Amino acid sequence: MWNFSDSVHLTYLQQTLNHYRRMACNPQQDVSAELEAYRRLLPDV
Amino acid sequence: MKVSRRLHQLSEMVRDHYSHIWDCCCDHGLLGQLLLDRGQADCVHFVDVVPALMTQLEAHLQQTYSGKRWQVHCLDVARLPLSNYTQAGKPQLVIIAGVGGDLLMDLVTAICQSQPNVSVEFLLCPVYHTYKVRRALADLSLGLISETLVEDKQRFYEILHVSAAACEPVTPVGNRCGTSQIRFT
Repeated sequence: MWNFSDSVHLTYLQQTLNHYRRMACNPQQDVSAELEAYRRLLPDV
Repeated sequence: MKVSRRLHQLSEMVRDHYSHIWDCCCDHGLLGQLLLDRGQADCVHFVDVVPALMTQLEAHLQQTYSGKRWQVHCLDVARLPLSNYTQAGKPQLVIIAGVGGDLLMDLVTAICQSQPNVSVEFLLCPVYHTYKVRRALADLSLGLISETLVEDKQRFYEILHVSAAACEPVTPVGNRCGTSQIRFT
């Protein structure tokens, strides 16, 4: 499992979620599945 | 030999001994040389499509590893001749690292589809598009052996060890990256 008490893991997952949030601003790119998956993984972000 | 955290972590994830290990898109062949040093395979194969790199690497290997078994192949990774090296019951290990996720999946797909009866494990470290890579690996019915995360020069890399014989599914966002090997002193 991802270890949410490990700052390296958390940083990586948050960066990844933010990356997909930025990509989602472009309507030509469908990253809804990625966003949903990482949001579910990081429910408090 | 001084290597990056990423290459060190990749070499650490090769825990079994293999008959043949293929260091694909090997560049200067540092990972394969680590594996030669550790005696992880009967033979380590260095593969890249850049002739000048492979000529230089071959000369270096002849000087440094004359007592070890290795081969240099200047060819497209999609056309690895795995079936020429098959040994019953012994999987070969194909390592593809340092390339984008799209190319990496093209290569893995080509290998799986062209040689479906060859027993092979993959150790993969894509530079981008890990989500897509994970979905594609699952579509190829490859199962998870292990996975981890490594931080190297302020960038993150997921490393996936998969094979058709492994039963644990590859999930789209990862489910059990270890923690003990992430930071190096």
